[in-house]
Amino acid sequence: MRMLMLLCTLGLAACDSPEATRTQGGGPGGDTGNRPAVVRMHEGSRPFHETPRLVPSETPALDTASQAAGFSQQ
Amino acid sequence: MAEPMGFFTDPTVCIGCKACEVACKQWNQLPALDEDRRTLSGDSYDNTRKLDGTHWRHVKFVEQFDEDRRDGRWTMLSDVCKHCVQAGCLEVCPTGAIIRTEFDTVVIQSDTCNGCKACLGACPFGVIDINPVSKTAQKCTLCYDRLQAGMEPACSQACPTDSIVFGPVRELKERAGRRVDQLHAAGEKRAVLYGADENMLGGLNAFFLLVDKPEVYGLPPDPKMPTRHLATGTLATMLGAFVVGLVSLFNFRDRRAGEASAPDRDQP
Repeated sequence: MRMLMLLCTLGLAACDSPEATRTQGGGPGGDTGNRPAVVRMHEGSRPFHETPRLVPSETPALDTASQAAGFSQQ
Repeated sequence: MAEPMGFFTDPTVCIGCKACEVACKQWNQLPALDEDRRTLSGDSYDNTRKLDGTHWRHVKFVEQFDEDRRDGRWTMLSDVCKHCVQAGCLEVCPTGAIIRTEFDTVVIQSDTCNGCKACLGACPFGVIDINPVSKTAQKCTLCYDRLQAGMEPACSQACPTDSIVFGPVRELKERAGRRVDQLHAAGEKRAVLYGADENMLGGLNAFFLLVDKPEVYGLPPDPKMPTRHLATGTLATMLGAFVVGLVSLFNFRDRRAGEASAPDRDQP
């Protein structure tokens, strides 16, 4: 019975919603803090993906948006 | 932590030029087309169709005409991620790829996302989708990189009519309130703010002025957190499991009692 109660308590604790009570500017909320010093947002950018072009050519994919990478380094 | 930043979008001054869409795509190096969609939508001048992994801004065209088409109204609304104060996408992300920045905005880290699509269902606005190039979930970052450099997001800077205004959310709310009063005084009594108050997901950092019901603009009238039924759902599941356990227990007991009282068939 104790085990069952413990499981119920753990189950309910797992239902906690850190975002549900968050207010504007009120801390990280449900953010686990999983980020490196430089946040990468534009991985694998291909500006001409699926876009028909008059002159067919293969341009290499860009690692990341160059301007974004420049700013993220600052 | 910096002051919460966001957008105030006013469709009453939007001219549907889509400069915001183009500026967003240029800055974020997003492809012009998405997958195999190369045909016109037939839905007014809206060929973007929806927000997704390669369209982080979407200008909606809302046409409202009388039955005899003598009178009509054409409004445009530039839709975007709302950067919710209570973000459902952030909460359900299993890898912690979705983060909250120092500007109170919500950003997806492309290199940490595993493309599980949990956030797609968690967003009550249908903002997030998979980018077909990176195969990860992507959406508006509120130009986090530009904000870090002290610059304005590309879309609001490109907007020629200031339909999209960027700034501290506190100031934007004051400005939006004044605009609503102005419209009411001019006779447009339907003007209301969408997402400016805390009742909607704690407040939206990107909020809108609407001159009709939210549904007309393709916005949910009362968006909710996906986790709102988690506690009651878990309790119901536990109760269900308890009842199933009890029924099974009684069944086994009855069967054993029946076997014990029945005559032994193996005996001659």
